[in-house]
Amino acid sequence: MQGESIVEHQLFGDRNQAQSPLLSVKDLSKSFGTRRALEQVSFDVCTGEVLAIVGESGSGKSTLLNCINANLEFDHGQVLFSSKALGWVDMAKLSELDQRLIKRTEWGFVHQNPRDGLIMNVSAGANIGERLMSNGARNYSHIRAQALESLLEVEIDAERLDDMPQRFSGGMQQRLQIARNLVTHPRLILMDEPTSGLDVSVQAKLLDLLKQLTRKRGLAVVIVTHDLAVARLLADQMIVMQDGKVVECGLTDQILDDPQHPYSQLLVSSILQG
Amino acid sequence: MSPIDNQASAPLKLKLEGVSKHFFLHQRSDQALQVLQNVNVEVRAGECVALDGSSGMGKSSILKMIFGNYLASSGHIWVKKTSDEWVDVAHAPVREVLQLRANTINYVSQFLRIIPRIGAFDLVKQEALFHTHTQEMQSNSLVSLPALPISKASEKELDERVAQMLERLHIAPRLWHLPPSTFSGGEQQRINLAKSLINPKPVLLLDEPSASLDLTNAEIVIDLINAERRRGAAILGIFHDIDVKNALMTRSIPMSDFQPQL
Repeated sequence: MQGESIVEHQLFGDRNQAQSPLLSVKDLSKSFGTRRALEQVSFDVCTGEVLAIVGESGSGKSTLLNCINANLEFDHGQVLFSSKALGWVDMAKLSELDQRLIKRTEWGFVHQNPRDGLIMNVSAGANIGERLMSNGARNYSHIRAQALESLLEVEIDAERLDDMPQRFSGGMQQRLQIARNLVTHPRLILMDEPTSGLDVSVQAKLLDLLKQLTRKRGLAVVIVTHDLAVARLLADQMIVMQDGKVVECGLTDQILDDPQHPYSQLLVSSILQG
Repeated sequence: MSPIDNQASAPLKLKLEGVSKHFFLHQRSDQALQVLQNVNVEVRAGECVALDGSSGMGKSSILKMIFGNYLASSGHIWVKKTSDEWVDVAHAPVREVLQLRANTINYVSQFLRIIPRIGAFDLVKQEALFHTHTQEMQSNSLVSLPALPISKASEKELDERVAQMLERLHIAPRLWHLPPSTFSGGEQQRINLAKSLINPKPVLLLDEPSASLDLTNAEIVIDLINAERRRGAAILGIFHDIDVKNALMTRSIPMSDFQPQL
């Protein structure tokens, strides 16, 4: 830990100077044919910050996340990341190998449907271990110990380590997907509607877990959600998207309590008061 | 740029200069709602200033603007960040406001907004833990956040501090490990106070801290807030209960001064 801190210190310099971002998205634009899916989207995320991207379906939220994660090519703009291994990099200019390296170690991605982020026919432990093995880990007992540690961190019992994910509930599958991401100690996690497939009671547990993990680990998180209550609980900052454009950005509670843009006002006023 | 502190008495901590607020309701055929005009308020260390006026005059809006929860439509909201640095919340970038919230401004609203699953004790403890963590991070001048480094000894000390706070606020120990969403209004109110006051900060904003409290509990809260003030906190508050107000405030400001001219 100590050694890492020193490296980070050299990498980022003094905190009293303007804090340098971990992820910087600049002027991202993308079209599907003649339809503009993203138009000049820009934002920064620093270590320990949670940013929520909200907007109705079709607003470009998921396209944006997939462009950041290099799953989709974009027409214009940059996705810059401060990598521990490679320094300040332009993700689109990296070789596929380096992209994969970053995505497998320093980044995590949590899919809406846990089935998209898990291998369903191998055990929970193997699901977590696979991420380590794809990074070259070979020592079986080591991998197993780390997998167990990750499992416990997401509050799944140790005895479930050898169970298949099919036999987990939806909420547990989602936590397993998170454990799989956490095992490499990523610094940035991208999440696509991580709670929307879950029952309300299970949602609360997952939200609480995510909140604690981000605080405890100082994770940077970019979370796409259509649920403004999720954004309020998890995110410090928020951007509101409409038709591929950012129409408002700022403090989460400010946008929710005093929205400025007509579209943000419409979104906020559409929440059912529980 | 910063406000002038003529050092009349105790140091100035908070200064609102010509602040106005209007809401622009796009859903209501772009109706503009003027709420506040030319708000000028100064609060010094060791003062408790009460905002005086009936409901609908924009008292809560003033507190919310200072906390960055509402955007000021014009003017300056100066908050003293360090001995020689001021931040204008009305024009500060998001990260500056987040830093002020972490280190400088405590805001106790009437509502407790929390994740439903966490017990009261842990809720307060997490606030304390997170605060220590943020401060350490800043004093180390490091961007990186290590996994929470907390020794057994300091954890024990922390637990004691949380227990003391809950005891002081008359939260029965049998409730400590239950989630506050099941508590009565008065108990929730006190958990809300505990969450803030576990990390004392230079500026304290209070939005009816004694609403839904009975007499005994109101007195406990009064003692706690007065202790904060004597410690040197600059307090700006809204107190509807006249007895509570008289027990807390060192002076008051009439909201009628800040109403828009029609």
